[in-house]
Amino acid sequence: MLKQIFPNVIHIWPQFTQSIWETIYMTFWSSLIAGLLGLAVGIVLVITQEGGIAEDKAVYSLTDKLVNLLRSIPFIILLAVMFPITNFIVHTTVGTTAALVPLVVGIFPFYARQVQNALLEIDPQVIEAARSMGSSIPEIIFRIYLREGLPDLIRASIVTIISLIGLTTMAGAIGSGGLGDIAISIGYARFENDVTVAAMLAILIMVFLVQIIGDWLARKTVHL
Amino acid sequence: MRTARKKIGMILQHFNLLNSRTVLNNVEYPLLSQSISKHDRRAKAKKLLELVGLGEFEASYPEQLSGGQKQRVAIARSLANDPDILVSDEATSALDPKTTNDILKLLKHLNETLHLTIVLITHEMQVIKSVCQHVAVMDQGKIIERGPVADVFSDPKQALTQNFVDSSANVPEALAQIKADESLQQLTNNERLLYLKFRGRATRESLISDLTESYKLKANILFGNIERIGSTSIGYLIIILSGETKRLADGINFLNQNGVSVQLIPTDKKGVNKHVKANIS
Repeated sequence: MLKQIFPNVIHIWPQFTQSIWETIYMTFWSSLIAGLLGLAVGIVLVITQEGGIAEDKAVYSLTDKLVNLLRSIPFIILLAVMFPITNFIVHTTVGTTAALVPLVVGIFPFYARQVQNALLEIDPQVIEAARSMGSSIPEIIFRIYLREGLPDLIRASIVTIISLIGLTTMAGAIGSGGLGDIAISIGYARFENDVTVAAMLAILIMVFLVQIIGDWLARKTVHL
Repeated sequence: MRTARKKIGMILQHFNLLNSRTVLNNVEYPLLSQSISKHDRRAKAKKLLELVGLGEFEASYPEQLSGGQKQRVAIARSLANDPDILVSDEATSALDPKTTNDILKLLKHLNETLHLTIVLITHEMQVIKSVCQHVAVMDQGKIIERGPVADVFSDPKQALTQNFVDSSANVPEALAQIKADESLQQLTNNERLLYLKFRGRATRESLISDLTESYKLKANILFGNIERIGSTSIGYLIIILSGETKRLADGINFLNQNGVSVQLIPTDKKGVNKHVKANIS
């Protein structure tokens, strides 16, 4: 039966499974790198903003504008614009590893905003209480912000990873490989519609898995 | 500044506990930035939890506790740095009367056993009367009156303090009720509606029965309240005194001489009021 519904997918099966792995590879590494970068920038935004624990107007305004600027660039253009920088960092401009650079640059400002919003949810009085108990700024970041904000940070991460899976398919446009690449270069270009549908289903499954695991983790970190 | 803060414990109306940590970890929190071994830290936190009566809840999370229990955790946490002073800023304002009482008892206990100075900020007079030794009344950011609780409550100098003290004894409500009662407005020339305040020594003497015996006056008590503040008592009485006009004046003088403050409550008969007022002064 599968042969009738997805004839062309069966035909290119090894290539199809490989593109699943490529998508996972791109999603994993760019989540990790953009995650750390976005977390750092998000924290900087929260602590340097007006009334923050390390208020600094110049740093805040600079970071804030940078995040807005990067978020304004459409991803498909960012992919093209990033070429020279990608070449400089990873010494290649095609393939999954080359796609990591624009993916990270494309997603980390988005994550930074999400982190900022998640951390702003924490009751300012709790932060004040920690200060009154003599906690230093790094102590407040690691012991209060990152811990009290954990459930919201996990939810923000789910949203970000799901967006990121979407971006990896777009990276197919610059020959990154992955499910997006296969859906366009084979499914769309050769009118093999079943390949496109199968790629879409594979991505949907990934999204659902991320959502389910993320929700479970978020629930575990809330102690009601 | 940060080191100075460590010597001052703070508890607030909002408990500000860390929801991601257990009760025990919350109490441990202030100790995390000190050079103290994990074992000692844990032991100290457990001891503090025992002290506030929450020993068995150490593994619970704050969201699983009631308001009173959360405040106890906050108290235990504020004591972790061995503060010299504990500032309690409206700490009982979000709690029900029974829980408030329990928390106050706990604070008093800490005050006595740990020789801890507690600065209690509150708008509830009952709280002051039940646990405090000294009181300072603040208005618009300035201290307008201060002194031992018994002194301030028995002889408030400022209008605001007076108002606080009276309302804490339910006097304004009783007065409002009496004024609203129409039958009490129809007093004869030989009756006086009086508001008496007894202080210190006066509360221990049988002034009202002296009044009825020696001056042949009848006293009908409409409202009465005696409060104990520290070692002194303050009594409030609203009475209708009836008898001959001359004896009424003598009786009121007698009360005044014995340290009772007498205030005539105005009724509809204005003429009578003026007459008696002259006698009082």
